[in-house]
Amino acid sequence: MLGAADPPIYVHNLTKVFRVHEREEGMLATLGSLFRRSFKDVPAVHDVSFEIADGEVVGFLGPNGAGKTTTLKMLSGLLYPTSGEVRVLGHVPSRRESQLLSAITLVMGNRSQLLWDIPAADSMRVLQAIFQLPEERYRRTLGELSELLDLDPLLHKPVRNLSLGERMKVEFAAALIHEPRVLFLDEPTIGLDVTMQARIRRFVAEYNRTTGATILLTSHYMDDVVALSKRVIVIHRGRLLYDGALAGLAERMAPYKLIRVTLSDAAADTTLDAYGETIEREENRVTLRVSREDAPDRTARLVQDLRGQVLDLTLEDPPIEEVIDRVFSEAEDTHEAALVAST
Amino acid sequence: MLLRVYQVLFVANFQQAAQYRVQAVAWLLFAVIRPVVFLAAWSAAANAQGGTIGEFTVGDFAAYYVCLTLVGQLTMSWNEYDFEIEIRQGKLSPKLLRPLHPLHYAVVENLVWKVTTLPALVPALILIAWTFQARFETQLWQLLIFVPSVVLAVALRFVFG
Repeated sequence: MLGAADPPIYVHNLTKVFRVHEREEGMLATLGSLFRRSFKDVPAVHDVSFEIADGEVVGFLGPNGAGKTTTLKMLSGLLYPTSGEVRVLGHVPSRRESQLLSAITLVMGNRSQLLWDIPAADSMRVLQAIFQLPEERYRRTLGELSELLDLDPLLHKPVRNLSLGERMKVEFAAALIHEPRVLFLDEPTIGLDVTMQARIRRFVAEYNRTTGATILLTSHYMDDVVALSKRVIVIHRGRLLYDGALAGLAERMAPYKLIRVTLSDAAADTTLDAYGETIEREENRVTLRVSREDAPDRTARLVQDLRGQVLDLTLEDPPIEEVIDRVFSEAEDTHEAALVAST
Repeated sequence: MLLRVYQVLFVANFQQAAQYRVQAVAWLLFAVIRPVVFLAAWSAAANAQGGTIGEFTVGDFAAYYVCLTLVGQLTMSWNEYDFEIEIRQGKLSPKLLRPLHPLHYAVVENLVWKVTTLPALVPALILIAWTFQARFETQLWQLLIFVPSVVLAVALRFVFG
């Protein structure tokens, strides 16, 4: 059971290795594999440790194949870890204890848990019975979810007749009808248009605010992460690269800042290479890249030297997408270098 | 509590089954065509030999195929195939995330299939029995052991396919 000081999500040295059958292409290899199989161990998650506190919303980032979904599946009890320790709300997820299953949910953007051919309202009744929700509580929760997600026109249509965005809203309601305390969201906005993405984001933020639920979110849309999470965990090739504040990610992983300057028409052609590396120039708007240490001096010098010719100037961190891209590229380079060194 | 879950699951699965009327008719045809073809063949062979083959009349054959079809339908199970598909396509995951063993869903699906198909199958079998003059010679004790035998067969095919 969960003690008062225990975090709702505790992961220690978590490792998952998949044993994958491999063979050459062609008929002969196929026949040969009937008699002699060769397997390869594929490490999906390696020695990952983190804790998530009550009510925290954490972004879980990584490129495709980084091990995010595997980790979420181990956290929700769908996969057994190869080694390491996982506890969610004080339970070992792989034991699938009813008490835990009644307090967590996993939303996968590309999976449906609703009965396809019947209206979602009927699927909700099934969930009410399975989670043993008293009628009053069921109606109240469904009412709240309906209001937040504007579900009323959708609940009585067969699920197969809903658009992707509509279905995702109903999926969320189905996943939250038992008011879980821990949410694992795996690409919840995948394939949705920007309006629907924003709607889902607002909903998740509101759910977290009103219920105090703990949320671990993966998404390839950085807007999701920026809007919802103050903290991010970054993994690459199954290994943890960064665990900390989203704001600190740029500081630690991108050792430069961007000076965005708008010049007057008269100075539009002025070369600014003396102040930093020009990475973008469009008419009289210029973006310069400067190292973090030099940024204050260079900015001050630029303003002073071009007095009267600078219409606007901002000093900012690089976009989070760029930082993440850089983190993954560097990790990939390091991995390849390690491979070369080991051969 | 489990009774309530079964009740709700039964209704939901029945609603799903009711969506596909053409599929239900196709399954009914599939179920009755086979005994009709076999019966026609055996009847032709028996009639060519003076009405019997060995000690069996056309009526005996008809009774055999009617019972075979009924028992076949009562004990039919395809849940193991569904289970495999669910694992391959990731559809088992949502079920594993709920505090109910996935076996219960399969039991209800199996039950709903039988409940929805038998009302159409039984009249079709009665028609076959009447057409081919089925001859049932059954003792009471045979009927008594028929029921537990079918129940055990249902369990056997449900578990092992």
